Amino acid sequence: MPRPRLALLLLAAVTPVSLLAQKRPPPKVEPGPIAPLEVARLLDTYSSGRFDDAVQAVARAGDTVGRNLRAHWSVDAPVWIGADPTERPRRLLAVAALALETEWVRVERGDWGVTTGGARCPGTCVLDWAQAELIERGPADAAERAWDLAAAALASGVRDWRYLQRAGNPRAQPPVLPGLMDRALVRFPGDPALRLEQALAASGRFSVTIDGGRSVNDTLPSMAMVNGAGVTAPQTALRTARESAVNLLEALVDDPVVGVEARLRLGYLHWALSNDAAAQAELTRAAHDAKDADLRFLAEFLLGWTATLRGDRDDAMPHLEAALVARPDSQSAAVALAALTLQRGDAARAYEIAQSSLDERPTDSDPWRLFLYAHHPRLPALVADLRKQVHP
Amino acid sequence: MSVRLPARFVVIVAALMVSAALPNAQQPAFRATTSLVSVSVSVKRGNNVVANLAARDFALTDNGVAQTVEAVSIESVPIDVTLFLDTSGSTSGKLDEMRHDVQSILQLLRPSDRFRLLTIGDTVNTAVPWVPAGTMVNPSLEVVGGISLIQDALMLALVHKAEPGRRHLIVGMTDREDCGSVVPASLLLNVAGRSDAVLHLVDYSGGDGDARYRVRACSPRARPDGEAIITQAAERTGGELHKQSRLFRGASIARAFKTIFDDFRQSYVLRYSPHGVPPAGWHAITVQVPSVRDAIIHARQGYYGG
Repeated sequence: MPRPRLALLLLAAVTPVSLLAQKRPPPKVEPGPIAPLEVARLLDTYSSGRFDDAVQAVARAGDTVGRNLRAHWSVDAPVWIGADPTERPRRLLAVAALALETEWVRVERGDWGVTTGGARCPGTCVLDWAQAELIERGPADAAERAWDLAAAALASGVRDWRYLQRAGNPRAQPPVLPGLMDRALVRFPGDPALRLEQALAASGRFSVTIDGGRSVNDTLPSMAMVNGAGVTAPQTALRTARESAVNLLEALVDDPVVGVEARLRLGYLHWALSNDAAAQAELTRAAHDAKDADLRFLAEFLLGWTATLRGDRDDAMPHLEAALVARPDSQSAAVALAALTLQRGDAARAYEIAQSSLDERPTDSDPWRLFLYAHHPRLPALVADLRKQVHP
Repeated sequence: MSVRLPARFVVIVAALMVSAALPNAQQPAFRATTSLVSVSVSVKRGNNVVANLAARDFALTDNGVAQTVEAVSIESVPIDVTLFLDTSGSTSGKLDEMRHDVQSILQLLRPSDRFRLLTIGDTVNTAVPWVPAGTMVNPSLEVVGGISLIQDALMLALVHKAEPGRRHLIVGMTDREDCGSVVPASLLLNVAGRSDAVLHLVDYSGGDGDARYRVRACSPRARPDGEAIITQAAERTGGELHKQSRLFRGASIARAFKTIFDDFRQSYVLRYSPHGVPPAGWHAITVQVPSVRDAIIHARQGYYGG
């Protein structure tokens, strides 16, 4: 079967999967207008290295055009790709990269999950299609890996964990594809960075907690979508998901590249799941092993914060102080430390800590504030890597 | 010492250091302390402030033990005002109105008062640092979605240490639904008992917010009783929650602030040196005004002794 046709078939299979809220595939309709944009011209601009010009043209075109563009990729891009067979692999990469970048624009405008209206193709559909296009290039390579990592960071920004990691089910109606990272790992078996993305997606389901501690998903019934209908997931499914998340992270803790972060995330997951002793052990080890300032900050902050929540002020304060050594401009550590200092009765010192966190505006974002978005903060750097692959 | 004050108030400013020198024989169990406790007290009958009260009109107990107090009207005392505007999702539709109201509020203050504005971004921000009354400001207000660091912001406000001779009023305009604060509600409540500030909350939500920001998430989310605990924290300082349905329906921030500020300026500061009670631990305070029938009293509910 010719490769373009295979890609189109994949797109056809993928589209209804991404629209799980609907019991039937949407009726086939023509893509909406995207004037003044033209897909071919955008791709010429992007592939020539004028990346920002192409992306900003899409951003300037407005939200309606931006949404309509999603359905144009599969119609217009194959023509552009086929126009120069000698450049086919690079053109496929350029299409996938620009599609990803335009979805970043949509994410920033809150459009990721818009599925109303039937004919619209949301962000997941575009990324599914783009990933299939990349596979058309041939054997897996660094460019494809760069795209996969950037796509994971993008979806992490909207915390779409189920899109990134899920078991596939081809017999379901509509069929359920494996998660984006599950598919990436078929192409890059054992790749530690992609395995970490898969594990972060699995654990991300349990990362939102309630004031005072404990995962929301661990205390409330979990909703799942089955054939488009919301149902309460059985406790066994929830337990399996928890165990799977723990196992995926545990398998990475000794990796020389991603091990410290995996251990840190495992510690937080254990805490969210009420495994306090295991949490403390993993976080302590992560704090000891971390060379990166942000990872050391996060490990110390989490040790201090979880001690705060269990009312152990004496344990909490040294860890929060250590966190502030790693990241002096972190307000999350400062505000927790100031509260405990005032609670201890040292109002003057508490005032100093609090005031400095208000006076000194951080030059970059507090790692804790971004912790729940996995590697979304790295998206600009990952997209820069991807651009180098498109136009070195 | 007496000071000249607006005609309708008579304020006695007494020496701040009050001797606690009751004979040791009368209170053998406890050490006398020279540390002064300040208690902000608002006294109203209906919606009207009761003015011209003197020290002898107040009956104050500290952990159930009657104390000797003196009253000073706050009218004469410079005020540090912290305004906290919650610019997260639900209040995001009112940014222009907020900017205008901040300037109006600055015009309400007296020359000796100071003002600052805290807002929320991905962190708690100082949108306007401490400035004298009347300063022209153009605060940078941004809408943030999902994250709503109310407890962190209130914590950073409560910890402010006003200079001697000044009082600290915090007015928080928020829907009180926290999202993402590091400081748990329980700790905020504790800290409120250690702050000299008076915290008022105004129930202020602006509708459905900005749909563009719906994708954001935060953790931790508010506990089910989180709003009630934040309200308790305000009451612990002598402030209260002002619901839109009562005072501020349809009112601007500036109007709501003016009502709170006017009441605060006409409230009293009671100072006393605790005697007959152990210094450490929580000191529950009760304040009554026996001479005023049907008095509605808002006072700091207690403090932590060292």
